[in-house]
Amino acid sequence: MNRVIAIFITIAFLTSCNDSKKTKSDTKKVQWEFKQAIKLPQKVRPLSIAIENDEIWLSDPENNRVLKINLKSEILDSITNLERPMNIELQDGKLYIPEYLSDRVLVMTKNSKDSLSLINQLNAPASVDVSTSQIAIADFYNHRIVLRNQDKDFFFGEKGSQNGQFHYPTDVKFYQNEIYVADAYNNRVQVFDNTGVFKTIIGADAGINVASGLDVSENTIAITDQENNRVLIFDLEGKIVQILTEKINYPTDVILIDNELWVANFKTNELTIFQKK
Amino acid sequence: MKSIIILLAVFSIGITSTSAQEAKKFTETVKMEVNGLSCPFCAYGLEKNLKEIPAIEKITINVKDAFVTLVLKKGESVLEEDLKKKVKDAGFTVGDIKQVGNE
Repeated sequence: MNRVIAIFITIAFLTSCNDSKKTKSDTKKVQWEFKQAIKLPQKVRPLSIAIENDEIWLSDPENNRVLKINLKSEILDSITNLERPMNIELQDGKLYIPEYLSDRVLVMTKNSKDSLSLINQLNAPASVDVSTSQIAIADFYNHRIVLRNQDKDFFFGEKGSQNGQFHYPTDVKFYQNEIYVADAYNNRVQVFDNTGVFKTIIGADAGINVASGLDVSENTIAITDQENNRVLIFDLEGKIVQILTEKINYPTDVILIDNELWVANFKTNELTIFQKK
Repeated sequence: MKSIIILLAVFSIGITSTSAQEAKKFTETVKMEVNGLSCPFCAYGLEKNLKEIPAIEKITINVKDAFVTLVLKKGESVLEEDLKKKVKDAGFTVGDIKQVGNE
């Protein structure tokens, strides 16, 4: 009987050790905490967010428009009659709008409207990003990334599931001479150098179901796990750091700005903001 | 010999009737179930493909219940096989397609 009690106590002690270890480890991993949700006007369905110098723009492809809002959720400006504007980008006062139905990337300023002239014909541009010298476009139905350097453009990628191949890319981001691609229906993010040479994969074994949106900042990669209602946080080595779920409902885009992380929830009229601890 | 001729005749009628079925046409308003239609990238992609059919005037995609309603231009029609091809090109398979009249 004494022996049984001794074994029982030993097991209980070991279990307790494991639990405390787990809690400590989880706590260490928490970097982001829920800050606030912004309720948008009822009909808005935000697919993507772009922020620069306190200007907040959203794409609302369901209503064929992009909107400028403030933190009180008031609509300050809008561009309407677009043809399914998808993942937008705001850089140096220029708003880049990939139009899914017209296969164009519009470049808008306060006083001008232009479109990118490319050699490679797009088929459903889903996202655009701009660096100091390059523009990258996720070319959804061509399963590739079109990259423009100065006035020339070329592409990399093709349909498939091997390294460097895509199955419907939906978002693209530059970060420190690398190009990150949300390879949506391969459920992963792929990383390339700035000429399109494959480097690595992030999130392949994280159980993602449609990796539709992403952003990268100092030691953080955020990926929307669209069908699982999650945003996954990785470090730059590809290790998962945190999983965000609070107030997230069908996330299609995420952006990292200063010490905040913003999520566009497409199936609700809501943005979710997390802040760094 | 007679029985062979009868068999051939029956066979040929069968082929004719199958061909007639394959060339099914729709007019006015069509409701089409689409398997796997859930995300906006897919829904707008399907819309993009269907827009290439000139007879279609209006496309409404219901992502929640995974169906598409097509309103055709007055007096125009669309072949079932053309609809199926466009859906397939967009990366989906078609469920039931039916004429729902002038809704």
